[in-house]
Amino acid sequence: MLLLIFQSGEDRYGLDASRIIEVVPLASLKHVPHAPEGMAGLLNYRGTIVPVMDLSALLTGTPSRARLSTRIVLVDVSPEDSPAPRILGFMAERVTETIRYREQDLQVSGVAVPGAPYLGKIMLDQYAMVQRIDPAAVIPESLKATLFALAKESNHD
Amino acid sequence: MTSTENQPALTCWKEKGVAGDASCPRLAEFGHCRNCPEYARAGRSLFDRNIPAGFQEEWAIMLAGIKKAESPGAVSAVVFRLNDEFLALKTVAFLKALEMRPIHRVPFRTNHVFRGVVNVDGVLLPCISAAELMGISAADPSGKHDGHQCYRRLMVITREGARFVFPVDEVLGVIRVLPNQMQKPPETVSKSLTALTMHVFPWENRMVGLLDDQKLFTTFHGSLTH
Repeated sequence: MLLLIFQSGEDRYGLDASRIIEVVPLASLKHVPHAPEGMAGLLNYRGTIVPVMDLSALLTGTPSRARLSTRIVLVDVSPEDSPAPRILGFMAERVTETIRYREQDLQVSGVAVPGAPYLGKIMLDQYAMVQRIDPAAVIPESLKATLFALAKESNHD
Repeated sequence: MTSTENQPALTCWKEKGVAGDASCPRLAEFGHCRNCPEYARAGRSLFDRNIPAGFQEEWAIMLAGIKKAESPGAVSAVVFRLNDEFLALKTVAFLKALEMRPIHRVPFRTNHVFRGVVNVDGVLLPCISAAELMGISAADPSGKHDGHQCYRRLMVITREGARFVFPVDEVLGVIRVLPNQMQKPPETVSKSLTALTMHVFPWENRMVGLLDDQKLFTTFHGSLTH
């Protein structure tokens, strides 16, 4: 399987590539006043309004820096059986690399962080540890409903 | 450039690598700095530059538009030249193009079609003269075509586990051919060429013949048993 690597602070994380739709450069976003923590803004992605979460802000508390290597990863976070895709954008730093991995290479981190269910298993590569992020768990269910309801309403206008 | 704020600029290949005194202990392992992960890392760090003005706004507009779908049925083909004939072969059947290297004769076997065997990555592969099979005369040995210098190559092709090598006068690159560009091959071209040509398509003011890879392999196989 393929893992898209990004960096946050000094650490490396990965997103499983199987549900990634597209990786796009850092486009300007529409800011949302009083947005929940970690939300960078809204992106008009091919006519659909997509909420973009800033993974750097979520993981380290500092927003992603504006660099060419900072990119937006568009992921389908709909449940497996859902017919319509539900797209969420993830802004992350140093999205310049992918690595191949096998599920058995991953080890459980041994630490369950309350409030961060998206932190997944860890794999070791030649440089350092890479922690897999579950994109579907980045925003809590309650907030997800609100976000996508908002996006849906605006798409119907 | 603000690329490497936290770490010193990675230019080790200029100091101890191939562009320096070659004292790096890992050089033996990788052979050349371009194979080294440090070199790749330095390359990636170029992406850590600041974003130029207007870049984000431009991308916001581009992403808002509908993505142009790739035309269905487009074929990727590698274009090459045999004397004056421009031909193409589907990229799926193409393995690589090599610089010319010795073609070893096989006594009592080598003829004008089967040219001998060629060492490709330690494996001896049969070398066939595709030009001879298609009735195309030999090119000017000076290597000049339309006034520019060309380099002869050996094309390595593969299909269903079989591999062949054939010399061409020039490899021009890989292109995508759309289904609406394909036309029926004209009757006027030589018979053996028509038999192997599936379609013709226009490319850079000339017509290129797309070879039928299945028939090409059958013909190549057949030429071995003569």
